[in-house]
Amino acid sequence: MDSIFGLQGSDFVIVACDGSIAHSILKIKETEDKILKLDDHKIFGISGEGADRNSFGELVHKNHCLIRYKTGGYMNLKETAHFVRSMYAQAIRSRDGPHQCNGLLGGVDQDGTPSLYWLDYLGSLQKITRGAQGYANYFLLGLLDNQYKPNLTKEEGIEIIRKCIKELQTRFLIAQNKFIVKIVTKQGIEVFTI
Amino acid sequence: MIDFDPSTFGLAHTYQKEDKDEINTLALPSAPQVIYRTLNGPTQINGGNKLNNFKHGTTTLGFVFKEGILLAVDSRASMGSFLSSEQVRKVIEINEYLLGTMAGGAADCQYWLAYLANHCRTYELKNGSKLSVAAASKFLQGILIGYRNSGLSMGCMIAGTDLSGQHLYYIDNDGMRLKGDIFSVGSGSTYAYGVLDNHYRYDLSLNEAVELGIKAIYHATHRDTASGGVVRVYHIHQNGWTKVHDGIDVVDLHYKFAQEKGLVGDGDEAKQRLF
Repeated sequence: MDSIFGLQGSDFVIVACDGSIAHSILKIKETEDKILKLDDHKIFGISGEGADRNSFGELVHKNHCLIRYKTGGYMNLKETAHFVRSMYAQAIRSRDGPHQCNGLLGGVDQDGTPSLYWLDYLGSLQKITRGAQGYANYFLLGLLDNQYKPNLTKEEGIEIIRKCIKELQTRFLIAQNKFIVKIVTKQGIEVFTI
Repeated sequence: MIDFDPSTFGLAHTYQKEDKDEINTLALPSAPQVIYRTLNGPTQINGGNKLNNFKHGTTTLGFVFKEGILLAVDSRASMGSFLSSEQVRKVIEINEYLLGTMAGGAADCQYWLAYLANHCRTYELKNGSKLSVAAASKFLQGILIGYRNSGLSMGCMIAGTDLSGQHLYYIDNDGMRLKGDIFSVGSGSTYAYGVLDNHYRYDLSLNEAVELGIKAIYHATHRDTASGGVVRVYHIHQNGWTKVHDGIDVVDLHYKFAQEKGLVGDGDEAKQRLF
């Protein structure tokens, strides 16, 4: 039931998530941050049931740190995306089964190029300019396709995200009141809640 | 579309267009049905072993406010329609600075919280400083993730105090761990949330917070058949925890609250007269 969606602009990437955690008919929490910060220029929005989202997120974060220590430096977006994909793929036919969560990995490389990747629990990987995970797909892909144009500015990007949130609040059966939006630019990550 | 006659080309197999090839609906892949391997009993899809299918018949709640954390719980244990006890202690005193609440399987909660207590003490002895609430709750989460498909049933809150203040975490048997300001767990939690969400403010005084906790539990026990007994209230502050109330009977509370409203408390407010 999580909504994770994002888009990539000329020099930034935005990933937004809803903040609710639900258990049967109860909304236990409304301010849960489902977008993980991998480092100063990478974020990973994960959609899935509580424990899987949490544990896979931690796994990715710690392994990412480990690889950076081992290789002595920096992993760019493409490397990170492929690495996360390989973690998903390794788990598919494992004893505990696939990691039951999907993700949107976005960020900006050191040279300023932004990228957004769509990752699936079975190990699919696709570089995209706009997309969503979960039920948000049904409501937002039309809107994102319609509003997207190449070389979006940051303000235009935020405006599109606001429209997406408004659309979800209007049409989605599940009430999602609080959204957390993270924007990555060459300067770093900005966070705000809508 | 040219219709190929298979015999013309001497093909052993031909692709026959069938109705089911029409893609009428957009089928998105969904997560496969998870097959639980339970320790005792046959594997079942989506549910697990019936023997381990405990219902969380209880109401527990906790909230963070300016004076620390307040925990309030009921004390009823039921096995179906049989009340096995009205005096269960659902707040488990892990150590002098950590408390855990119990919902779900009593044995599971008691055992694993005692295991956590053991771990906290060992850590304290080995490292010379107390385990933080975040670390203690994370340790428990790790255990529960490991036993994820084994039929454990726990919906507990870990509340405690450490050098960075007082913290409240919700942990359940799926391995979910959430940090928050207000939680209520159990079958009566929805009723408790109604009262809690309405009156909660961060800047409650201690007395107001205790009142709120008691009221919320009372309302949950009134409407939820699986909750009842007595209300127990604990307060966590920077020096540890204090047991504020050891057991206030909810029946007494019922008549007390009714009296405050000028009612008798017999439930006949609608004055139904049949004849």
